[in-house]
Amino acid sequence: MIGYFFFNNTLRKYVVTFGNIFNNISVRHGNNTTAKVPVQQLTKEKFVQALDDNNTDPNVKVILPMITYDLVDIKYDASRKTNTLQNRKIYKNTETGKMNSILNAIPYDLKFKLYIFTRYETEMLQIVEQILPFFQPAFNIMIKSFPEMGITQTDVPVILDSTSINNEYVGNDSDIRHLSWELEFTMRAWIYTNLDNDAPIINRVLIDFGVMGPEDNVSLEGIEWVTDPIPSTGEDDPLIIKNTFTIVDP
Amino acid sequence: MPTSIFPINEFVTNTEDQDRLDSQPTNKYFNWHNDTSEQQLYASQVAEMIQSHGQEMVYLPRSLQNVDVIFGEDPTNSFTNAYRFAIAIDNILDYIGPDNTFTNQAYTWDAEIDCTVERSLFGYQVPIEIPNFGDLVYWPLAKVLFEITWVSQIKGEYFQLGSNPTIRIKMEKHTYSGETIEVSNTGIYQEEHYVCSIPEHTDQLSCELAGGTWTPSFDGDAFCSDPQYTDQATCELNGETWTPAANALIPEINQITGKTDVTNSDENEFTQTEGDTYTNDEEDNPFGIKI
Repeated sequence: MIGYFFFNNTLRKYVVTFGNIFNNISVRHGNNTTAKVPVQQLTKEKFVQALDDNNTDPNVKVILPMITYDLVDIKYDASRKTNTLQNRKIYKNTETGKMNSILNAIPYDLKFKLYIFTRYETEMLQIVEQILPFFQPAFNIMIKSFPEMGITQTDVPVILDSTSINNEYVGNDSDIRHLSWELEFTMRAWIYTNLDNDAPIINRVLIDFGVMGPEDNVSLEGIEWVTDPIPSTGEDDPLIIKNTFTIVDP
Repeated sequence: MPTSIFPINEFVTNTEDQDRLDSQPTNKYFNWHNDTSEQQLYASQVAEMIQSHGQEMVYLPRSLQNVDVIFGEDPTNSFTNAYRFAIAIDNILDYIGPDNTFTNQAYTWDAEIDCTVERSLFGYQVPIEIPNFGDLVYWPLAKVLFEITWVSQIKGEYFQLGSNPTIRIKMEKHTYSGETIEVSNTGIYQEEHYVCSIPEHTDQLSCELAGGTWTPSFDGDAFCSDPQYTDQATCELNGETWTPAANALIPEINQITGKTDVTNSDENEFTQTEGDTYTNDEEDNPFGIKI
C-alpha cells in the first residue's frame, strides 16, 4: 500500500536549513580577532568525523567554541492538518497531456537540539546573544520546499522551545570547567507524498442544464468547454478555451 | 622551670633525661626532618633519575592580561614563553581516560596523564617555583599539548626526611579556545636551527653563513647552526642555493593559533552553499535578516 519508492529530499532540506540559521555566528577572542564558530551536524559516521578532525599538530582535546545540532524527534502536528483530498497540479512540459500532481503537504514538527560549547563564559554570552533576539519565540524561514511543483515560498517557523544551561564547575580540582548550553527548537515543517507525474488533464467540461427531451434521456441544452489545443506547459498563457454552446435536437 | 609534664618512669631515670624531654617535644635522635644533607642527596637522586629516564617537554606559562573578576577567566591570556624541562611520566602504558570519544561536542581526544618533576630541577629549568594550574605543557615526542589541571600540594610533611623533592602533576589534553600561542624557537633553544632537508642528498649539502661555507651536521636533517648569523643562512646543493626553513624544530606549537576560525573546507561552508539553495530570499525581508 505505501511501499513504493519516492524521496522528495524534504527532510534533508530542513536539517541543512536549520544548520544554516546558525552558520554565521562569530565570537571575538580576547586578542580582538573575530572567528566564525564552526557548526556541525552530529550524526556522522565516526570514521568520517575522525578523518575530518583538525585537533592535530599539536594534538589537543578539542577546539572551542563549537556549535553542534541534531534532529531528535519528529511529531505529527494535527493542528495544521489540511484537506487530504485536495491536491495541487502543475502542467508538465510534455506532449502527452498529463500533469504533475501531489497531495496537500502534511504537517510535522521537527525537534532539533542545538548545543553550544565554549571555554569562556564571555564567548558563550556572545554566541547566545546572537541567537536569542531573533526568536520571539519563532524565527521564520521561507523555504523552497517543493520547487518541482512550484512550491517555493513555504513559511517555516523555527520556534525556540527551551534553553538549558549545563555548565559543570563543581567537583574535583582536576576537573576543568565545562560550559555548555542546550537550546531546543521546533521547526514547523511540511512534508509531501509522492509526486504523481502521470495525472490526466481535464480538457473537456460539459454542463448539462437538465432540459430533457420527450424521451427523458436526451439533453436538450448544455455548455461544453474544450481546450484547444491541449496545453503543453504550465506557462501557456492564457489557455485557449473553445466555448461551445450546444443545442441537442430531440 | 615549670614542673615537668612527663612523669618519672623507667625511661626517665635522671635529671638529664628529664631536661631533654622538657626542652624538645620530639626525640632529637630520631628527627630526620632537618637533615639538609640527606634531603639534598635524596633530591639529587630523584633529579638524576628524572633526567635519565624522563621525557623532555616544553613548559608554557600562562600570561594573564585582563582577568574578568566576575566570570573568573581571561580570554586574553597568551602563551609566549617556553622552557624545556625534564619530567617523568607516571603512566607506564597509556594515557588515562577514554581517549578519542564521540560526544555531542563532536570529536574529542579526552586523555589525561600523571607526571612527576623534581622541585629544584624544575625551578632551575623553568623560572617559576612550581608548576601552576592552567599552564600548558607540550610533549614534542607525542606532539600533544597538555594543560595542567592538578598540582600536588604536599611539600614534605608526610615524608620521612621532612621534604618532598617531587611534585606530582596531572595534565589533560588542552581545550583550545583562541588563545595566542606564539613560541619562538630561540626561546627554547640556545641557538636557532635551520633545516636544509632533501632526503636523498642531505649528506652533500653545504651551508653558507657570513661568507663561510661548511658541510652541515647531519642527523636525518641537516642543521645549519650559528647563533649570530642564522638569519643569513643559505643552503647550497649542486650549485643551487635557497633559504632553509626556520623554526623547524618545534613549529607545531604555534600552528594551533587561529584554528578556531572556520575555513572554506569546514562544514559551515558546505551548509551555507547547500542551505542557500533551499531558502527563498527573493522577497524583501522586512527584518533585514538574511540567513
